[in-house]
Amino acid sequence: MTTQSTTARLRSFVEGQLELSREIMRAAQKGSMSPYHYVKPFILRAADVGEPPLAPTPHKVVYTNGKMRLLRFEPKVRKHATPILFVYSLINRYYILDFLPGRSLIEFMVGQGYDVYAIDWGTPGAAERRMGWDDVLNVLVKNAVKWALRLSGAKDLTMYGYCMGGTMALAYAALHPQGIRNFVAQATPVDFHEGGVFAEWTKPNRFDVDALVDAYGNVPIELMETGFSSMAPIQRMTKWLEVFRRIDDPDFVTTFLGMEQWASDNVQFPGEIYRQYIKDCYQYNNFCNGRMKVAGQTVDLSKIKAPILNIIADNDTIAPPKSSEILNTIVASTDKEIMRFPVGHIGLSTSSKGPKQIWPKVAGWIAKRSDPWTEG
Amino acid sequence: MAKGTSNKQPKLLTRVVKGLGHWLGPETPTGKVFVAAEKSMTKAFDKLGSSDRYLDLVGGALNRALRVRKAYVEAQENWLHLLRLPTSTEMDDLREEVRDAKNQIEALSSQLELVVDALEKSRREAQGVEAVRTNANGSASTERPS
Repeated sequence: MTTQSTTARLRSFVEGQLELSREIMRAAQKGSMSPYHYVKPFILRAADVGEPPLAPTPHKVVYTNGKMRLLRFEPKVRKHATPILFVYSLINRYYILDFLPGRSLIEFMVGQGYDVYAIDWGTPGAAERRMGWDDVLNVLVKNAVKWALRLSGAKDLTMYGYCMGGTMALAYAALHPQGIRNFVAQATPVDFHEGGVFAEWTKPNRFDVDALVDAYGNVPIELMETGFSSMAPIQRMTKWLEVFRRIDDPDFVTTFLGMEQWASDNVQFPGEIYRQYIKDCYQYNNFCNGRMKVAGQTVDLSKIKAPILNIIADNDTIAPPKSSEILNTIVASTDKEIMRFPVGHIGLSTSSKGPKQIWPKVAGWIAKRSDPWTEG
Repeated sequence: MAKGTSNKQPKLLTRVVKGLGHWLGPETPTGKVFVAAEKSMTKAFDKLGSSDRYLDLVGGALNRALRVRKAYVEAQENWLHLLRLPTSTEMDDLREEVRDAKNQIEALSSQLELVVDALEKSRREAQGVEAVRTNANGSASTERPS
């Protein structure tokens, strides 16, 4: 009996080690730079937890165009006629907005009775290389708005932009104000000359964006990863020690792994739009100064008259508060508000403060400015 | 400890991972040294990352590497062109045309939907008018003295 159990344990141990080695080899073959791919197999085994249940809210794909998908998250009981459309950044994936059960901004809004839509840009490839502002704003976002309105049966919606998605959504709202009832800008950089380290790194004399796009087409994942890891190279490694210490806390481990999985799920940045983004925003601040052009039309933020909620994270290093605050002074809206929270850039969507302190306030602000839902 | 008790011993891997975390945690002497080293390295990297000289140097090196790659891609394209093979720029042109065509089809289908909606609306209106007329005729005929 003892010999049998010892043999079984030995076999299980050897199999476990082999599986671990295989996973690490796979990560190495892919050339992954993020420590996540190498440390995760150990953490999953040590903590005895499964893969983090990311993007848990049920949804349907209601529109596609190339790699872009429009997702619909229908509430069980609809309370508001005005739907919400989330516009996410082209960096990383949209599911940070639908992070984990109980910690998902989308799940929260659906629970509040909103008909929610979110743009998932997918994983851009060669076909998206030449995609520029015009394609993204005048085709993709425009169609997303059209479909969200059509499916929800509403005449206008609340546009909710996050990070670079906020910048793009603002540009869209300035070009096509019709159909936008309210605007929520979350951690959205507007004055890019206050854009922190990224503004420093991308100065025209330091960063030849034309050479990058001409040489590679799309911005390679490795280059994006290098940029992010350069922001806090030491913490990138040492933060794993905290999960080591709390390995017997499954909730903490799952949240940590979910966060790391999202952070390491980098996608290529479509080349042409990257060129335009770096020049119009970081290098020449055209977006903030009303000089950005999309298909010959000027993006003038002062054309936005819809009520605006500007959500700022006090500890944001990607969209520093100074770069976002200016929005409320540029737009023509008379109903405008700034909400500040003591969290970081990602914390607005994933922090434990989200469902308790942040999102109820945001949902309340939107509710006051939305039509109530009436059956039929 | 008696066998079969519910106090299950954590796995070896769990103990090793937790032990490593604590060994380098702020409450142990080794951890204090580690934390101090981490802080000083972070400070050094922050200083480096905000130094104009360092950023100019790294930026310059990156730009040179990118220009070399760009020149290589251009040379490659010229060779492909000479050999009458499709280049990546030509492939991109093609993809752009396909995307434009897709968008045009979508725009056309939207317009078609509008036309269908308008037709449907006018059909319903015509049906409504017809129904009113029939009703009017019916009531007129019933009202007619026999």
